[in-house]
Amino acid sequence: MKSHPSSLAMDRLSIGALTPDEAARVRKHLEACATCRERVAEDEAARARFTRSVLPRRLPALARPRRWTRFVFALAPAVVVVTLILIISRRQPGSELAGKGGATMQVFARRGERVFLVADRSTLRSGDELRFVVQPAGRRFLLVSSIDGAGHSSVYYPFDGRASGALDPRARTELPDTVRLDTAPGPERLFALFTDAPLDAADVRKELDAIGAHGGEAIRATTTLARVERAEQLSLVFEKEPR
Amino acid sequence: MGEDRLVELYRRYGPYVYARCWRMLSDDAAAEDATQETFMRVQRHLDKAPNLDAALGWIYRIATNYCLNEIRDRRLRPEPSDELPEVIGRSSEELLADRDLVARLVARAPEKLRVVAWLHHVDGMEHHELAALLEITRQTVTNRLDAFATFARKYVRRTSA
Repeated sequence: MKSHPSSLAMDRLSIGALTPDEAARVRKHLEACATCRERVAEDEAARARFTRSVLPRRLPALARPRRWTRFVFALAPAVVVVTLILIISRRQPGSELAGKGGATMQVFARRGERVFLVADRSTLRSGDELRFVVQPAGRRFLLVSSIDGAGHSSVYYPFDGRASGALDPRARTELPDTVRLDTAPGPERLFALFTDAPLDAADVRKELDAIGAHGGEAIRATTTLARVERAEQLSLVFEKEPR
Repeated sequence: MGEDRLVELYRRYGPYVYARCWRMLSDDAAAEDATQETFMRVQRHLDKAPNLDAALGWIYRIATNYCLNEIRDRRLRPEPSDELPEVIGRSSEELLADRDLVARLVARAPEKLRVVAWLHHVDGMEHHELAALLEITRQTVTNRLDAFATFARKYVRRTSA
């Protein structure tokens, strides 16, 4: 052993993954070495921070079932094609939602074999499948939610989640789940809430339900959630019609 | 099943990976992002993951590579080159025994030398531990450490001139 055990050796000691001889050597070193004891104490404090405040926020994003993986791969080339068409032609006003802080969201729909970009106030059909591509522009959390004409609120990202999901704040990201539109007719409004700290989905849904209680016109007219603070909000409404 | 395994790995080793990333990046938020990115990579290669007891080393390697790329790309850790030396007159052995100096040099080293150099000089891994962790021969470990020592000497000489 060199003058100090490696970080990995000390971590393995902590989880009981060293052989008895190796463990005895590392323990003996620790008894004699204040530098390594200090290092171990710092690592323990970092691990405690993770368990206390990081794991509860970050685990849901990893643990969410990936039910639509096959569709993700099928859609990916189409997303590229549609995005390129958008960049080249710029003939679809409002197709990419953009906030003042630079966050953007694109909503793509798949109907049969066709994939298209969803514009604000467009008409979709029950059974259409939606996917979202976002650019958080430095924001670290996102909640995508909706309220429909039947007064039903939903959380689409993280799918059915209780709080905002974490994102790479610098990367353009295709969100992992697909939403299949149900048969409830009338308007449905989406809200993408980009924040620096996670939002409680229950609070957001409470406000959405209040909008839904006022009917279709309120859903069409309400473009921001007044009670959600310190968020960059993007919103889009579409009308659902039967297949 | 795969999700269950990922969650199990995250709960068991997430704290260790976070501590590892925090030590390398010296920043809580960067360590949090690095830990998440590490486990997203773990998820993509879950079929290659060793059994639970051996998985820490495998995940450690993924995290180390990610953090070294972060250090290189975003210059979180390295400082301007004119702040590097108080090194004139020090031998190679003395230079490479200075963990902080090596950490800064590693960010500037050729990519294939960086992981080996960091794990050996900063983390204190022995040659045989490195060979096992990185799945390379001990001779390759020796060659890369020699090449890093040569790089470090040249770099310090150039910036000291």
